[in-house]
Amino acid sequence: MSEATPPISRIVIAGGGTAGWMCAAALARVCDKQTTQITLIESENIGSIGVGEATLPVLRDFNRMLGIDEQEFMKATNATFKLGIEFKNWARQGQSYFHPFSGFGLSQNLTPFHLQWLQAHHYTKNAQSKDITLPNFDEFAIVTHAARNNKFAAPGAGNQIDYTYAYHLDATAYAQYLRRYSEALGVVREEGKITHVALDSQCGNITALSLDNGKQVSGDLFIDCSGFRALLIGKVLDTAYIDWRHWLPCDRAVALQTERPPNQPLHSYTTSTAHRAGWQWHIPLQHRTGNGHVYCSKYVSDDEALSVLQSNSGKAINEPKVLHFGAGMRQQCWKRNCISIGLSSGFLEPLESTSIYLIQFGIFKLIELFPRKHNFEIEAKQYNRLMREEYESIRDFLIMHYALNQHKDLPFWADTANMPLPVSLQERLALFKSSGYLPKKRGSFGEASWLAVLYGQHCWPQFKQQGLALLEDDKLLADLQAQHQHMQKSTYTMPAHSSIFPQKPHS
Amino acid sequence: MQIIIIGNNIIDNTAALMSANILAATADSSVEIHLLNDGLLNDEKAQHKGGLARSNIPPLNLTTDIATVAPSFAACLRLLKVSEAQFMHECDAQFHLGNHFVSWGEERQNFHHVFSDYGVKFATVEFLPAYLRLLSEQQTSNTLDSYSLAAQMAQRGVFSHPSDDPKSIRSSLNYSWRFSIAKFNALLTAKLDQHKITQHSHAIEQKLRNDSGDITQIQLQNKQIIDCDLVIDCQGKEAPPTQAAEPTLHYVSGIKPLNQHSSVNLYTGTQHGFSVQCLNNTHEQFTQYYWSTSGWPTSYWKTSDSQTGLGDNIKQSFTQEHPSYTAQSQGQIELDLAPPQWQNQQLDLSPLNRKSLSIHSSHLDLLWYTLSTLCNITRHNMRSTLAAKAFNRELTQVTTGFNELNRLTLFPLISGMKNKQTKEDETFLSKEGRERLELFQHCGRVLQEEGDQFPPSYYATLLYGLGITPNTIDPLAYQQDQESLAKTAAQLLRLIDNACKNMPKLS
Ligand SMILES: Cc1cc2nc3c(=O)[nH]c(=O)nc-3n(C[C@H](O)[C@H](O)[C@H](O)COP(=O)(O)OP(=O)(O)OC[C@H]3O[C@@H](n4cnc5c(N)ncnc54)[C@H](O)[C@@H]3O)c2cc1C
Repeated sequence: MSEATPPISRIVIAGGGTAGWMCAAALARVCDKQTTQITLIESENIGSIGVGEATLPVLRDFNRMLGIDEQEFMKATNATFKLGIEFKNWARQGQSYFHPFSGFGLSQNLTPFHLQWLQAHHYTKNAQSKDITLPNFDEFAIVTHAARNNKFAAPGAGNQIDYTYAYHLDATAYAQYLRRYSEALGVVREEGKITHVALDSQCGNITALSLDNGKQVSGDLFIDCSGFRALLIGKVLDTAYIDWRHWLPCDRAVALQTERPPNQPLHSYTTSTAHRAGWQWHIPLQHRTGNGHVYCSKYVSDDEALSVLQSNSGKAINEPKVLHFGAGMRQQCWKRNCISIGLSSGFLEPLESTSIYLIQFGIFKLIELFPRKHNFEIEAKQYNRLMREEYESIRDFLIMHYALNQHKDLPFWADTANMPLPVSLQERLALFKSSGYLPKKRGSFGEASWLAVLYGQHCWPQFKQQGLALLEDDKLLADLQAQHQHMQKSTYTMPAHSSIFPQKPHS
Repeated sequence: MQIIIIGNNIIDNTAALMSANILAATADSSVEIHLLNDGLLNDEKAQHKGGLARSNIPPLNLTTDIATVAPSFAACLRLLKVSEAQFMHECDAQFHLGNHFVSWGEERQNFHHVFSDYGVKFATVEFLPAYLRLLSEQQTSNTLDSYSLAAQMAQRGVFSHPSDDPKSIRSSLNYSWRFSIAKFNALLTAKLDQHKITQHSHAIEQKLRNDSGDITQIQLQNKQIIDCDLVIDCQGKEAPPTQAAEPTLHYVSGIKPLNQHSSVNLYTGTQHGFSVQCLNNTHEQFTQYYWSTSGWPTSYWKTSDSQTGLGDNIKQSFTQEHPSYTAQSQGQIELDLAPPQWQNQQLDLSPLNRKSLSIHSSHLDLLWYTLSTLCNITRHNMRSTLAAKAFNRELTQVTTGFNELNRLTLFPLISGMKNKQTKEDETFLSKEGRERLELFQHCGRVLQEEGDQFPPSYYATLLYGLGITPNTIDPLAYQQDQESLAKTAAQLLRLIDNACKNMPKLS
């Protein structure tokens, strides 16, 4: 075994937003402090994007890996619990469905729950008696009941169906929290604006970053966390951006923070409400609420977008902020000795709260493929492949939300319902409609998440009675009703979400 | 719903017996399953195609008697409601902890390749990188086998089941079984009645198809007509392996075209091939693979007494006994499934292209995987063309995954070891296989890929066992100081020793 290639001893992180500090914390946790120096450069003048408040359950794995105490973390970030997302008006005006962080129902004799539900639905629809009814598909998750009643309890033993949860958090506070964590582990923070990037004249690797205060920071490995600016990966290394705007046409968002409404229940879920040419998020934190309107500038003006947001949000506590973006990703997230993580690597709109997850995924893959000095090619090839697979899988999941809408009368929605889909998604939807089968897919969203959106937006398999699974109708219906009742009951004893996080004056 | 399963010589047709029982165990009571015997018809067809008729194939009792499966086979037993005790008793089963490669490859490696973990995870580092570091720093001179509880159990002839207690070293254990196929077939036959499977003794007269080519009815020679929604062809290839010398191996089956969506082909391959295994009154827990001087990979299960034949000897005695099997026929035929695009790839048995020796999986593993996939995909609609496509795709992926693993194991043979690069090397491993090898050679890592049936550590320890030493050690192996790493490793040895001491002897 040759140890000729020396290990990386200097890691430089460009940018101190959520991505930068998550990287710093994770690398500080796994690298040997004695042999590896981690430096993070950020500019207070530039600041960070300041949005990104809803997360996925895997963030808990990240915090666990850092050894962070949940209560301490929630206090520091004013976090609340998130059990899933309520989609309002997505399929049709006036209809809602819930995407829970859990599976649905119980499978019987290997028959997945959703096919049981489909059969029972077919039966009740054709039944003579109006008394025979079946609750909606999304109501076969404990989490949906808990969320709709604004309750929360951590999953424990005794629940027939396992569920999980994520957080709503103040992203700026999270970055600050991770900064304290990282600095305690020896990460050095440099304040200043990066003004110049030096490259090795032979191999083209980045060798050092110069700051506006005259400092120079050299390194072996550079992590570009500079946000949409993509200072290193884009501006200097000139990596192309794969454009997915033809599938995800929303290109702007206006964000606004509002007061936590007094004496009102605190939601334990994120809400996403469809509007004329986009959608609005509602993210409840302990001390305030995050709101934003994501829209497509081709169909709606900034002014109108803001006015829609304002009329659907509470009392503002900051100035609204308009952000521009384009869905897509870098052709190579890792090029030479530079890895882009966070917004510099790509962007997918926050419909399913995937950006922080993608940061985490990138960090975990970087750790799994952590290189030595000089020769990065083999690791970079694998890293780029994995990032591409992950981005594409989330991309398809997001596109599906638009593709399955039924607002025929609104141009934005009609256009997205008729747009040609990526082949991977086209095939998946066709297979599901024809057979009720969803092949397993790697990535952040498992079968249950796909089913939540598919059933929520009325994309169901054709009911044919031509399969292995066909249960006795009466028995099946009774069984499903019992399951539903049990789920409802299981939430009775759960505490109100607001009782866990009582109102406090906003800071 | 009606399913017809066609096999010949049902009592020893594992594919047909498993198909019938597994489908019956997962289907609802409205599904009728018929088992048909179509032997005669196939003999005619086989002869017509220039192959040997079944009646002319020499009996290969040796090859059919033993099956070795991977740990995932446990799910099959659970589904069939066969307890381990019943299975072990009725099928003469023995515990199987992995493979023992003896004098393998030009480097003459001896190593156990185990299903289990290596006891501990060193912080975020897998065991292998930590071990490589200790080795390079002269902190250990023990073999990797010394750190494997399974290998030590085998050496000491002891066994205990895995523990549920995550703190116990026995929680890292994983195992499967080796058993008599004939007895397993008897167990499956006994279950046919219990599962209300209708058996027909009359041969098939004709198959009636609809306009799109689906088989809709089968008429037997006694004029009985059976309707069918799904046909499963378990007749196998009626041509003996000698036919593989032909450039394209024709599928000589009673049901054509085989890729019609109403027809699924399953073949266990138990009648053909060259895998000499003897079940004796021994308690060997590893299947041994010997590398013979001619470079002919022969799977050979060593018995405890005087069985001395290595690959070549067995080959000779075998071919003397069965002259119709020429040298070309002595690879082992993999599971052969319907999609025609596989046929060249899967069944090429020419000696220089031994592409599909089954080392890491047996036909039964693939058969079980095939059937469980089939059950999932056809639960809702057996007649979906898209479902058939998905089924083919998933099986291709898994079979390719198994094949890839087998090829990696044989790679040292084909590559003429690490120095010589011949043309054949380039095609022996797929692009994915080469990249996996490249990454391991580069830095000792293996990534989890879709279609992998085993965890990354299983691949990594195999590649290391084969004599492939990574160029550099995973830098993360250095995040713990040398002393504490060495201490943990020493503690692992003690834990293994204690665990083995407390286990009952097998004999
Ligand atoms: C509208 C919107 C809503 C979102 N909602 C969610 C959500 O709900 N959930 C979610 O997971 N994600 C969400 N995201 C994404 C999330 O905000 C980002 O993924 C996350 O904040 C990470 O951003 P970042 O750290 O990559 O970039 P930024 O926060 O932009 O940080 C960039 C850093 O680089 C520094 N920098 C830049 N240029 C220089 C320079 N020249 N010199 C020195 N320093 C420099 C800046 O000072 C800053 O520290 C949303 C994004 C948008 C646009």
